[in-house]
Amino acid sequence: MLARTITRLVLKRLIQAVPTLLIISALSFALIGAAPGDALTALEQDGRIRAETIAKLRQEYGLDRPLIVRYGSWLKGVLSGDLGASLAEKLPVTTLIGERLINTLKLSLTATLLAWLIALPLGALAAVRRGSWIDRASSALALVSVSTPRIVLAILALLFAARTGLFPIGNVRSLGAANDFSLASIADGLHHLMLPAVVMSLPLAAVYLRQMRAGMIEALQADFIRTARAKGLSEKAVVVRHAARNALNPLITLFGYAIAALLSGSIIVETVMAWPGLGQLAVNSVRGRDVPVMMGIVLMTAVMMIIGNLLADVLHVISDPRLRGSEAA
Amino acid sequence: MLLKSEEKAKIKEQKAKGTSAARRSLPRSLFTLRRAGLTLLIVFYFASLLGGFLAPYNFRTQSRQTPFLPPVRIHFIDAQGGFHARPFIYKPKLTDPLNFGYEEDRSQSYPLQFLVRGETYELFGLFTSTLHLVGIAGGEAAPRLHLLGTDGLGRDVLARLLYGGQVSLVVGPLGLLLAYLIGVTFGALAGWYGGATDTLLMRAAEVMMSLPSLMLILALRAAFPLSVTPAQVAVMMLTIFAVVGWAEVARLTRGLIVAEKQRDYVAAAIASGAGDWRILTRHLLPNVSTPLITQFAISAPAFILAEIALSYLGVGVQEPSASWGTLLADATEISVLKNYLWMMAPAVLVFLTALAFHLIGESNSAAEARR
Repeated sequence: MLARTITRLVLKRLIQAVPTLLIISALSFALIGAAPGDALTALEQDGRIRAETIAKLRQEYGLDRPLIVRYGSWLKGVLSGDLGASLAEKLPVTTLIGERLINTLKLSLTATLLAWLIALPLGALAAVRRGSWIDRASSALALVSVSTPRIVLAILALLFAARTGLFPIGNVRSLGAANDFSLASIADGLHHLMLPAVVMSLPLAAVYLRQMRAGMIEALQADFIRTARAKGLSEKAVVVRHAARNALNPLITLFGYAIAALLSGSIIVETVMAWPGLGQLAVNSVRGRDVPVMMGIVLMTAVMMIIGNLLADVLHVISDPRLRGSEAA
Repeated sequence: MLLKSEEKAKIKEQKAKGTSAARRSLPRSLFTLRRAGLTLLIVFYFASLLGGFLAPYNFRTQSRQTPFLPPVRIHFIDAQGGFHARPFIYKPKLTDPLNFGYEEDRSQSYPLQFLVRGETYELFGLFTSTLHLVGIAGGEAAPRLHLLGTDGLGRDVLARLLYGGQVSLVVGPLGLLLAYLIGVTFGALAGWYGGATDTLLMRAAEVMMSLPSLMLILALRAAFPLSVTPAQVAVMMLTIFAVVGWAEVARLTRGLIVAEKQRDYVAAAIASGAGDWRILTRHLLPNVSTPLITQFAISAPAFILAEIALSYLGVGVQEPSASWGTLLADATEISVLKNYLWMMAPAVLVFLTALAFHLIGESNSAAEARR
């Protein structure tokens, strides 16, 4: 039953994803292509380069063909796994994005992990000791970090790093550091990762904390908790095994939200803190009018959103037996 | 006698009802939070609108002799220990040309003047004025009154903050308002007519929401030329925000309308021969306006931050204009971070603005949940 529901869910979503991706790619291609100026406009204003040279380059890049033809050839490439070449970096877009994607995923996963580690125990504790100083302090902290914009958090972190010198600023590893799995290089990587990850995780942690607290309070008042207590289970078992497990359910729904928030947030945090990820690449490609890179990132992001939402729904079906076999899923 | 005591009991009962009803509608702490948020916002908006008058200088005037000047110190007591009712400042003297270190030249004091004539500025974009709330008389020879210091070109940080607020506090909410116009219209049509209209509009909304908002904003930004004039920036941002924002609003409105049209009064309106347009505008929309307004306060900071983000990233408001985003960009150079703390002032304002909107939004939705 479970396997069948999940298979149907996945198939249905994949079929739905095809038109969505087509529409998104066509729309963004049309929009970006309709904009005045292209990657060579900056060169045109440079008096040292002859007009014929630019015209030749434009022909070479295929920028002189009509929009619909360009979209057609781009789409054909995508279907065979080729996203074209970056106009700025002379590299295949897949290589460029792949490298950046790993950095963004590293940052986002660490941030998510941190958020769970902070929020779940604190939220549960706040719910169990409702009204205590720890509850009030964590609620106030959650309010402040939910309302602090990521751009402000990132700048504060930068200020902290610049003033104290405790953390490096920018990049994934120190200059000249080896990129292997030796202890020194892992420590160096973590040192670079720490500050951006904390910045990315704080707003997320605040959302999780509130949800966890509300969920725990609701669960602790449920009948099955009274039953568990009546059976003579220890308070720890009641809270951890019965209440917390039920309070975790709604957190899974936040999974899709978290992915969107992390991808949006990564654009800001990566640019402010000079973390060479997808978000930073997106900004650079807009500044440089690098259409192939821009299109690749849009497509990549849309795919990640679809996968993330699907994953959230699958987890939901697994964790909530009531959804199995239902059309709603 | 009996009657009287009965009456008294009744009055007592009514009183008790009154207080408990009031308590149920909104607890004190929520009320305080909302008021704090509103006060903060009102102060920010007024200060920005009156920015030219409140700041002693125009936001674009450069003073090349005093780059990275720290906030000026205002004195009441002079070097001899004498007290002055009128505050005064000293002229700064560059002592460390490498890192822009200044010292006060205490040989002569310059008193603050109120309501002085100074540099020209525009008020509300309508008329120009030279009247400033506070300043220093004495022309070129006198020191300049930089209350929040200067940036790397010697421009007044306070003036830039207030002027930047005129952009940052206004563009986002205005864009959201446009998004509401489109979103409410589409959502109401989809919810009321259902069928193919509904499917088409909601599929379109879904496509819009399948990208993270900031990524969508960046993609839309790529549709405009890279360097744009201030007027073009405004039009561009409003367009982008309307396109990005309408989908969420349409979905919310549609849900509210679908729920609301089941109500009896709608059936009554249909029975009495009211047309679609009349039912929508006179009956349904007024009845779903409260959650829509609540959502506006919740969404507004995201749009304000989107403008700040675009300007920070160098693809929004551009020099010589200013927004809180460009000011933040100026503040995040490493040498500035290390040495000139007053340049962080925009970060404080951005934080307080977001906090104020959050306080209002949260107390509103908490009040709604209680209803």
